[in-house]
Amino acid sequence: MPRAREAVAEALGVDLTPLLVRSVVATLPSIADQEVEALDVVSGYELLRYAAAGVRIFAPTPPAELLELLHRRLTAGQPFRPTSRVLTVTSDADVVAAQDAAQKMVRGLLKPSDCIRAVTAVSELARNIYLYAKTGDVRLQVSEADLTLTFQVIASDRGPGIQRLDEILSGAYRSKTGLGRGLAGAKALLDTLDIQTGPQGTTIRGTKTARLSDIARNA
Amino acid sequence: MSSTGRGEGANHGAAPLMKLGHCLFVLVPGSLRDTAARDLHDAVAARLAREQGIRGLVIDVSALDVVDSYAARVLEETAHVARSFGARAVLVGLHPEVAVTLVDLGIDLGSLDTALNLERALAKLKLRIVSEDA
Repeated sequence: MPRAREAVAEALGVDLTPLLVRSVVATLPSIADQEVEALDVVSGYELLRYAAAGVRIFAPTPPAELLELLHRRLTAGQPFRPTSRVLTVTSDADVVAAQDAAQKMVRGLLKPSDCIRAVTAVSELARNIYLYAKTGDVRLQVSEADLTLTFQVIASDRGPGIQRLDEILSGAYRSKTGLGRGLAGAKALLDTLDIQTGPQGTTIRGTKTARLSDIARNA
Repeated sequence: MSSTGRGEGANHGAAPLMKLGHCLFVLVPGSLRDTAARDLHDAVAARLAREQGIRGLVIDVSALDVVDSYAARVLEETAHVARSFGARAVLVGLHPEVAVTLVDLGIDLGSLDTALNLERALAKLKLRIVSEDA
């Protein structure tokens, strides 16, 4: 398997002259020195965005659907492998760390307003762990299938479980700290939110998706 | 989406408070930990109690990329404290994406005045920076 830089050069060579290909490839960041198979969703799309930006600068008439085109040629139509991270939440500093990790993951993959929605939802879920269960995990993942990107957050803890879940989700409930809107907020900010809760603990899965065509528009 | 001031080691001290005339300015740090948020709230309260005649509190939130329900509540409470000392609070520099997210969250910042920039915040507070020879 060739290094990503050579693979990009080959992909560009279909439409561009060798001189233009060399110019674009020279602007690629160091992630281009990995093997194509080593690229995950986050690094893969970063590479595609750089390549697409380079083409727009150097080529007089860049092909339409450039990002899709480059992706197809680079990985032979295969999705990049998922990017995931697991963070342990035990303090308020970990809530900020979860925000930062989520932001690094979704930046450039979701449209800017959806980035903030996803990061805010992660913040709410991480803060709920810290406030109500004391400790737990936040698992973040971005995966790709059929030219659709899915950001997933899974917040799990072994806390006492969530009482009065229906009231909380309807927004009618206010906890004694005056918060209580975090969970309802996360549900509103994400596309899906699934909550499993009981005396053994709570697992919350949320997702937010983006079409590749939307990403291309923001690239 | 800027990442200014969110790195490690940045903004770990108290939030900067500056007094100018009848106005108090506070710059909210980018990565607002819960403890830092409480400190901000307490620092504003202490300063308003100590200084005489402060009529306006301008809270600059332009460094905040993310405002979750907790951070929103701290901002509301800070405004509330200001009011109890006779000062009106105005929020400046709220990112449009953050404002949209707050609406999705169901948070109504109705108790907070917002302004596009410092100049308009001062206009709202009916305060002007007047030079000596004016």
